Amino acid sequence: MRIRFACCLVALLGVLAVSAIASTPADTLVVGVVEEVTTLDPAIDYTFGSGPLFRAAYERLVTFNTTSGKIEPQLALSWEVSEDGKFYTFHLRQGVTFHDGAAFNAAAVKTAYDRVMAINEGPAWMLTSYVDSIDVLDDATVRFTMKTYPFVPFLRVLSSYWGMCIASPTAITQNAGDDMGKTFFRNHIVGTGPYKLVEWVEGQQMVFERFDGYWGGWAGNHVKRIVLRKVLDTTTMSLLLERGDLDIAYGIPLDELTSLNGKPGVVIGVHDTFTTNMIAMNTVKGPLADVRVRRALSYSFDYASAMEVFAGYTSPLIGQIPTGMPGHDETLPHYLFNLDVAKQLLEEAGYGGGLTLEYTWVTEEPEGRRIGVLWQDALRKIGVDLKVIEVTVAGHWDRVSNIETMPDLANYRWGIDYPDPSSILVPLYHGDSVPPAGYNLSRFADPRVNAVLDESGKEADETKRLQLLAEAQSLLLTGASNIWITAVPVTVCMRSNVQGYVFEPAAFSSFNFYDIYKQ
Amino acid sequence: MKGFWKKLGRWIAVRPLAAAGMATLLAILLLALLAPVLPLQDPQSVSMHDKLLSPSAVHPMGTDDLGRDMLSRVVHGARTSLLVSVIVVACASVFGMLVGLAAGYFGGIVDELMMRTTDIFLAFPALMLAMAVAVVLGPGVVPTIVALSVVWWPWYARLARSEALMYKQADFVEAARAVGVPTWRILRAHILPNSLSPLIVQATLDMGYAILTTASLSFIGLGVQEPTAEWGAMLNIGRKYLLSSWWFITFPGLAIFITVLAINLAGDGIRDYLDPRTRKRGA
Amino acid sequence: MVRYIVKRLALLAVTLLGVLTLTFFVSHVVPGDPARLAAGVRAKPEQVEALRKRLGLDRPLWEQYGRYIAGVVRGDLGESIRTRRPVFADLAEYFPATVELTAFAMFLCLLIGIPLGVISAVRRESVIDHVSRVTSTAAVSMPTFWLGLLLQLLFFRWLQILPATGRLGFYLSPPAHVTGLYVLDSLISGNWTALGDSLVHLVLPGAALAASSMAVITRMTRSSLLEILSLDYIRTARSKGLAERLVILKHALRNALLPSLTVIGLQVGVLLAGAVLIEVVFSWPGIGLYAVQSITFVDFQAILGVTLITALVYSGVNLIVDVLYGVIDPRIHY
Repeated sequence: MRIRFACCLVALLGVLAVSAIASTPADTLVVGVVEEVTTLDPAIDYTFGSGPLFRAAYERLVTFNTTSGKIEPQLALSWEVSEDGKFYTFHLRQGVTFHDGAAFNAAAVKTAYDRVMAINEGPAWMLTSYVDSIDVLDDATVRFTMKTYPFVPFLRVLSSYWGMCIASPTAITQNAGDDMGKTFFRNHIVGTGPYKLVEWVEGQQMVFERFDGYWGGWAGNHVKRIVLRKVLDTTTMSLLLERGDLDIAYGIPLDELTSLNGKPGVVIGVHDTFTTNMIAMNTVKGPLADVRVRRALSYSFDYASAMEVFAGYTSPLIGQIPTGMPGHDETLPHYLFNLDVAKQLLEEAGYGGGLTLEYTWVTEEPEGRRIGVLWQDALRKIGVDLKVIEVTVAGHWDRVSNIETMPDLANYRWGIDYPDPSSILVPLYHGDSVPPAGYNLSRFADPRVNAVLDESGKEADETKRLQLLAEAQSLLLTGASNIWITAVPVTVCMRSNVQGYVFEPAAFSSFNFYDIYKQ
Repeated sequence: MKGFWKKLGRWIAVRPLAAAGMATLLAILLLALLAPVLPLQDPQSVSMHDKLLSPSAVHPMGTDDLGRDMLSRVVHGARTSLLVSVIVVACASVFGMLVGLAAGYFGGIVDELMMRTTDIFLAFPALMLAMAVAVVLGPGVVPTIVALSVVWWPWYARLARSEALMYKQADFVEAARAVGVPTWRILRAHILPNSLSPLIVQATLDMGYAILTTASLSFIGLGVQEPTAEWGAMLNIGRKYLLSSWWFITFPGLAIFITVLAINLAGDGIRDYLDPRTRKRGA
Repeated sequence: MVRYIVKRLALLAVTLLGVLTLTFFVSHVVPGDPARLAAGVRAKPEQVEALRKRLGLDRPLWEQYGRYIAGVVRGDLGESIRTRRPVFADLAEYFPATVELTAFAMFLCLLIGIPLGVISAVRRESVIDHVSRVTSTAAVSMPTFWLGLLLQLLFFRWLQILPATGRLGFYLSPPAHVTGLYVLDSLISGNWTALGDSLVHLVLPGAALAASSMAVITRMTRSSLLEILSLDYIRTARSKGLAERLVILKHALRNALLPSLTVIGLQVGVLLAGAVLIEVVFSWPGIGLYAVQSITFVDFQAILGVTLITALVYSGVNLIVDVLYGVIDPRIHY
């Protein structure tokens, strides 16, 4: 009996060994992703998880070219902005159809955006804050009337994939139900993009297939199917890529990349995003209300060692705007690690005898743990006891939105809504952006900063605008509202036969699927 | 004294596994107590350039993702794990015992209320409730202790209740009641001392389980926080480096395993010793 | 008997209500604003308020509680703020994965645990007996999740013969949905690729989950079989000259397994509890993983839904075991 049992076991293991080996089909691109997708509704979704799917299946009026820093046509071929910035008129691409056969035209743009504004959840503020009305001038022309004008970055706002994806008007009206189509669009994607959604196993995978009626046509090299495979456990990803289970692996932890070094058939890619990691200092309550203490802390942070938290793949942030984004300025002054200066400043502020501070980091932004512990170890040497506390997203928001519970120091990430410096500076440092209205966690309120930021939103001249932004940044550095650490890098590793991928820091979690192919 | 050594020698001969468990447990306790004076590296000293080093002469268990010495952290972790589990078992058993004794002795509505309450606590996995409580209280050593005690007391309450039921009708209790001894004194002087020993046995045996549960909670990230060294928390971080740094999960896990194994082996011996009914069975 | 079952069911209802009440109030003191999270961290205050109103979170706690319980009675478990769909739909999606994993683990427990227990009892003090005792003690002393990690390291990283995560291989589609258990569904639809693949994916998490329960079942089988084997009627059977194999299989084992029913029933609960951590380690999309995700997101309705379903299964199994015990053992009357 025992022998028979053992035989069975061996046979079973044999079967397992054979079936565990796999490689991806030639016309299919298998992408391992890590971010969560909870709704497919472009009017509601406001997460990084939607990047890849929205770019596969939806399109926007315009897109942002990171290399040139320019706005480029997608569904709009050209546009005019009125002298006072009140009207934006778009001339639309003709001969475009949605996945359900509906025609793309001016009415479709109005229907899609009106729905986003009516639902008024998630990303809708990017339209409702600026747009007063959308009018169909003729079948191929649509006009936006602005609420507040001039607002210079508006075209960049329209290039965001949050809220700006245009869904089929037929699908919208036919499935409106009593909830403006929320139930339908939670599970369906009906856009004009090159690929259409054919299967969604929640929490596991999404399958897209080529949309034959795509206006761009299918000449040249393209893949037929795209599988977005959710990899819950990022640690296993490097091995999956190595074995060929994945064509592209997005989000392999930086520390795991060493295991891929020199592996045949694998191309390692690490890119800086427009998402920044920083530590907000409580500028209104507690010891950090004193700017000398804030400067002392700015000097006590070991910027170089902190880069090791990102496996050395990035460099310290200069100013508040990451490299590659308009407004980034290499010439701005910055703090350097110097415990002696830090100690001296603390003594001047009357904290020579020591100090206890609270530091929080967010579970979902794991670099905060190591940054905190690293800093804690350095601060020990100058008599500062740093309490490192882990909080969930929910707990974090709860603490920071109330000044009574706001910790002395809060580590957090900020990802941009649209590729413009105003998407960093205004929500994070404008005096009107104190939570819950915005994300000015440090409660930094400098009237000059406010004035400069307000002005920069109206300044159409790019050179003058950049000057204003530089001024705002140096004021922030002097005021030491935060400790600015770095732009958060992401890893996009792929098999060497995958061609045509271009990284876009403004939409870092997404892929230019239409241009990607396998050799 | 001589008799003691002789007895001990016989016990080791009869139950070598239990003796080995007891010895290991003592060694672990000693290590935990002496950790601060042992020639170990500072468990909290960070060095980013030494992160994720594989085991070597300098770092026999390698380093973690902040370049801290794993050996030192594993040894210091014993302090946290043992302390937390001892306190949890103590809190849960004392509270459970008080509630259970009262319920068993008074009966009626008090008993019914307690039984229904424990029903609720025992109706779903303890870890899940502990998770919810831990989220409410936030991370840290004290919240972990509270969260685990909250979900553990019902077991002891039930045990104490059955003990109280047993002694409630005993002659010496009836006699005390007849001569008018106040209730609280009957409970304190008669029922409690008699019920104590099975409860203590149970609590000892539960120590291993308490260590496992503590580690589980920190493994999900809801327990002990940085920079305190704790085995479950180390596994939680180490898991992220599973493929590249095998030592990161291996040693803290091994520490849990060995400690719990030692407790279980020693516990078996103690139970057999205290409870002659089971002494022969399974030997 | 019927009266007993009715009484137990009534008690079960009370317990479930208690469980819901307890979880409701515990989870509602969790720090964190669910409306803010549901609306998205960047939502404007008016958007948050609108959503708070729509989700009924602006009402006093007692009213929310009343509404929730009323909803549960109607079979409406509310809407998850994280996944943005009815909790019922979420559970329907995640629960079968847990059932599949737990059932597979239980299958392993019985398949290996009982024979091993029998061999240990029959060949008492043999090498097998000793090995099985040592492994059993080791298995119950090992943190389940650590065992899972070790198995991943061994079979996925080093040997590279088994997958570490998920229910199905990449780019494979799940079989046509019938029960939600991939193994059953692929059998029903005759999808052999999916069958093989889903079994392959079950091996590591199933083994890790099963280990400690298997140890308990082995030890229990061994000790109760030993007890039976020393009884008179076995001696009689042996003296009649019945083959030893027949004595053990026909007479002893059957009677030895009866008292084990309770232990096995209890192990269902143990496996279900252990599944939480195993699902986290193996990224197994079951309710354990769902629960952990919901808790960190302060997703009340989801947490309550998970609690309800676990408590139902837990108590349900206990009830079934108790009833079966009465059916099988004629000495017990209710």
